[in-house]
Amino acid sequence: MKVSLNWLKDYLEITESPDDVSDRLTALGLEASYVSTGKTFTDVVLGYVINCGPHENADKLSVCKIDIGDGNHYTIVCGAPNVKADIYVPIAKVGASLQNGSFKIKQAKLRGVESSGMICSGKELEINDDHSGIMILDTDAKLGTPIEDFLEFNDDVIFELDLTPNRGDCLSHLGVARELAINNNLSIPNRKIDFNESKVTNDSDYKISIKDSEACPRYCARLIKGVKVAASPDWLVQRLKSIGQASINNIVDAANYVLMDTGHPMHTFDFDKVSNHEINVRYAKNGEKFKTLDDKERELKDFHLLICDSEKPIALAGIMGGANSEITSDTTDILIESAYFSPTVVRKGAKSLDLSTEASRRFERDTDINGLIPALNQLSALIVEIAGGEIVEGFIDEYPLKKEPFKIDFSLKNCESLLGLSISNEQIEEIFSSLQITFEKDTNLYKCTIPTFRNDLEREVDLFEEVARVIGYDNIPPAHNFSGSYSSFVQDDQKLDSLLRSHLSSNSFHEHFSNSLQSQKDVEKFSKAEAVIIKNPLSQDMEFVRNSIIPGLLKAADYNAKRQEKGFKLFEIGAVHNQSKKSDTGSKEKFQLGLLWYGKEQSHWRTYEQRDIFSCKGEISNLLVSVGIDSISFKLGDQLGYANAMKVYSGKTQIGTLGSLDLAIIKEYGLKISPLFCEISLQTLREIWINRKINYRAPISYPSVVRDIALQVDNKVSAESLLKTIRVEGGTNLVDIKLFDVYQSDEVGDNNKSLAFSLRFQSESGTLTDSEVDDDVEKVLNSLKETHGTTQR
Amino acid sequence: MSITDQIQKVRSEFSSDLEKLSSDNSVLDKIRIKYLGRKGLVSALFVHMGTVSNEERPKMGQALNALKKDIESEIDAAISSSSDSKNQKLLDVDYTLPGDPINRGSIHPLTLVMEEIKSIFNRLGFSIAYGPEIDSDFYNFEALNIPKHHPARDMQDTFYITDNILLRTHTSDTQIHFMENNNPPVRIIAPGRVYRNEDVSVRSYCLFHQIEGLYVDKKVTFAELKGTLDYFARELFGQNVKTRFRPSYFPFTEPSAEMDVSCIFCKGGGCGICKKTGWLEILGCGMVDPEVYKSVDYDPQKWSGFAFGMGIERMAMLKYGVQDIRLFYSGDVRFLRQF
Repeated sequence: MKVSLNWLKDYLEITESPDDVSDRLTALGLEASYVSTGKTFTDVVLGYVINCGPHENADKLSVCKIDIGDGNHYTIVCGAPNVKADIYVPIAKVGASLQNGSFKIKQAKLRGVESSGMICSGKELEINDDHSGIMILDTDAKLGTPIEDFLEFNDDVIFELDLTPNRGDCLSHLGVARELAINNNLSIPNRKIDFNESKVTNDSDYKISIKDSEACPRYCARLIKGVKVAASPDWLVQRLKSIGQASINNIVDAANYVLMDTGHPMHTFDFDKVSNHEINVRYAKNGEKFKTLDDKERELKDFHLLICDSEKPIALAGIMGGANSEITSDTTDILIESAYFSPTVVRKGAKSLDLSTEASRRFERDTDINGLIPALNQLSALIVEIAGGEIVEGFIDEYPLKKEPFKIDFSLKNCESLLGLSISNEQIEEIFSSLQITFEKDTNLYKCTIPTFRNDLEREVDLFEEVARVIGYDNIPPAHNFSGSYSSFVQDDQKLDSLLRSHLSSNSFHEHFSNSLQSQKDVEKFSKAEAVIIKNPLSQDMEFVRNSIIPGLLKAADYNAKRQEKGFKLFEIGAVHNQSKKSDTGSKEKFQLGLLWYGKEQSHWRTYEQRDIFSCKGEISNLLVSVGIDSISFKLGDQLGYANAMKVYSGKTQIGTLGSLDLAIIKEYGLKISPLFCEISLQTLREIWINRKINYRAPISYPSVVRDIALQVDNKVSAESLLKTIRVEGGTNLVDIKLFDVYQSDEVGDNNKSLAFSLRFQSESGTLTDSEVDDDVEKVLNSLKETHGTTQR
Repeated sequence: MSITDQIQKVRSEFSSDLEKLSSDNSVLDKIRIKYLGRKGLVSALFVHMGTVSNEERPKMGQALNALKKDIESEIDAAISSSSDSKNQKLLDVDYTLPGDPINRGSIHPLTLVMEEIKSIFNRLGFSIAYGPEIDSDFYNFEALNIPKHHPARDMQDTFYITDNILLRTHTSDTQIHFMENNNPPVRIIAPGRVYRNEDVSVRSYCLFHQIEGLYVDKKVTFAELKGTLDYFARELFGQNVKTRFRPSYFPFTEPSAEMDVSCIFCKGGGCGICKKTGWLEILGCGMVDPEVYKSVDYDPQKWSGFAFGMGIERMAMLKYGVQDIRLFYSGDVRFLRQF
């Protein structure tokens, strides 16, 4: 909402600076900023270029001799391409200030030449946006005349208010003026209307009937005869222009002006086009068609409220008039509608047509039902003033559903205890009267009556806010003690996430946050679970809520690969969703951890990091063990979207999948190198983590004995199965097993491999003897031979 | 071959092994095992002791022990002369060669800010609660005193799944979920992802993150709200920042306020980032509206409290000077590496 300072001055005497006004509005909850319009400079006068020559040290500069009529000639260096001798120009004298003081003109030396002032462009003077050259003036004014004396400036300050939806009353100059009068010892603003009904009696009868009084509790109208539709007078054009409203014609502009002034939207009908001079307010029929004055035909539903004549709809109530009854240059008689429509009805109607107008915005936010007649009279008077004609005597006021002002009981004690502030009775009473709230005192209560323009004040607590607002939020001292009970504690099951993040970030993973709104392609690739569809998506590639953590990471990998990043690791922790009939929201939310390894790390003179499925296995085991999850194992399996996949287990619980993705999919995401990928179900992990235990055992003080064994075995036998046998058969003294070599060669044969294990034995009861260990190793070897057909090398 | 010859053979083999080796301790270890190990060559000779006559045995024993001792001392000597055991001087090598690369990853700037805010409120005794990203109209709007066909709905452009189910537009839904399942007093913060149907640009994205706070107890005042949030702002932005509160409107709080902090860039003097006002808008807050208590069956006569909510992206943009919100979701490692 734009508000003009000059306009506000119709209501109030305002002497404060724009800064102060803006701060005061903001402190009252009407967040304000402002721009000054009109003249933004001082000391700019008319000058004449006597001569103009090149600057000896700069190609693009000219040196000019200037006459400003004071008997002196000034040298001014100018960079504009259009400067030449024998032209009249605006000269900013030394000491001039431009653009509200952003620039000060000083005596200066430019590339060795003294310059006493500046020749200005239109943009520098904020007269227009032209910065292609200096302004060349065509005037017969005397040299040295301040340029504001012969150019026109409309000095004003325009406030831009960012209003909250509860303050519909401030969508007008009157409303803002009321706020400015609070706490400022100013009288309560009111517009005086110079209003004369003519003696022309009502020879053309018109009738109003309201079919639904809930939707339209009150409808007033007046008739004006013999107007002349023409252009608006300058002052009106200027006023509307200052707040960004275009001028149409005197009738439309007058209605617009009163709207911006009082906040009450009214509509003007061409009376001749109202069949039978009848106004009926009724709901539309489903499918009824109506052409609004923006020339669009609209199909209506049964909740759209219509203003109709005896035959046809002529306006969408509170939203927009119809093309069929609009004011044209031929119009002479005008019927003015000043009505109150239900905020919900207007909002529902406007929303479903996606049609928001100045009128609908105000009706939606509720209007002043007692403001109908003053606004109607003000508009009538204005039309007659600027378009001629006569106001027909009398008006219609259909008011089937009387609306009473809100009454609220206010307890000062309750107010004090909510705000944490003590307030005197005098202070409260002063606050009430500055808000035009009338009251009766009743022992501990104030029985308040709320003015009808403040529809947002319905409950006691709303008045508490008003009290705080008028006192000023900043004048309520903050409490410096925090007093809370200790009985509010909740377990944070997502604490694990921080541990994972911290481990991963110290192990060269970067955390990624991806867009969880994805395309159909994204949600079909990696999960069979049906993704949740958005009814009103921003675009087709954001039609679904993600059902897998993978696509977001792939897109990030592609983004980085295209920016010459050769090797990186990414992770993301986030929610994924799929449809689920069982839940109230028709969807199920799960949290996932996704890890992505792309390319190789940079090579280095000492090391070269090898990245393959085994390095990833190691990293995942390390991650899980470091956050307290053990018994990690991996088993081959199939997974949608993967070319090779291993399921990750903790004990018997599957917690995730590790592998390489399908190459065809990788290509679709624009990647040339296939990244490795791991997804882990955080839900499952959190459950395991919450129940984790550390099984402490005292360190053994006796020495350990290490034995290495090398085995030759068929390729098909897995290392894991060998390890399992060793672990089981090694006995209680076997404390550690390491697989330290895997070897394939002609020597061991095509179908065989050789694996070397290092076994460490240690006992809590004493130093082990060779023969004790020999026995254990023998047992292991025999069992390996029996179960897996190994031979010892 | 006589034992003496065998001893001689082992001796010469050992000498040649020792000559061949580089000064590497692991190779020396292998040699030690080859000769002195349990199944080593020297041990094997000791086994032969049983085959010699009683007269010769002491002599043989002496000879073998001498062999064992010699080998031991020579290996020890080799070890102590090897490079690993010397005080190597860095001057001898090019110490300017770069050290081993241990690549560091990063925690996302939004996580960093979220964790910092969480830790401040944790110190004040706030616990953490979570709400679902896909929620019903009831939790996101109705229960928060935002009925259908209310202009306040325009404050938040909403993605709908069905007429009644939506992507939550704020973390305030968690207030309702939590109060439905817990009796007062309540002291929680609720971080999470929220969605708005807004075009993607430098300043706005279709999703972002918020932290919601809710404190309900007996006799909680607006003055306490101010004190708590002022403390929070000074913890987050530095002890010298000032706060100001201005009236605002949220259907689920009354009175409602917007908290600004003095601009952390120009110290309140006015600059481009604070749009010359000297103030930065940080969070919305207010005293919980009695209507909200009604929808969760709390007695508004008995309990009062305050709620607040802030955008993490905005905080992170201010804190790190990030100009383009889209960078947070790009996954650009050149961006992420800096955090």
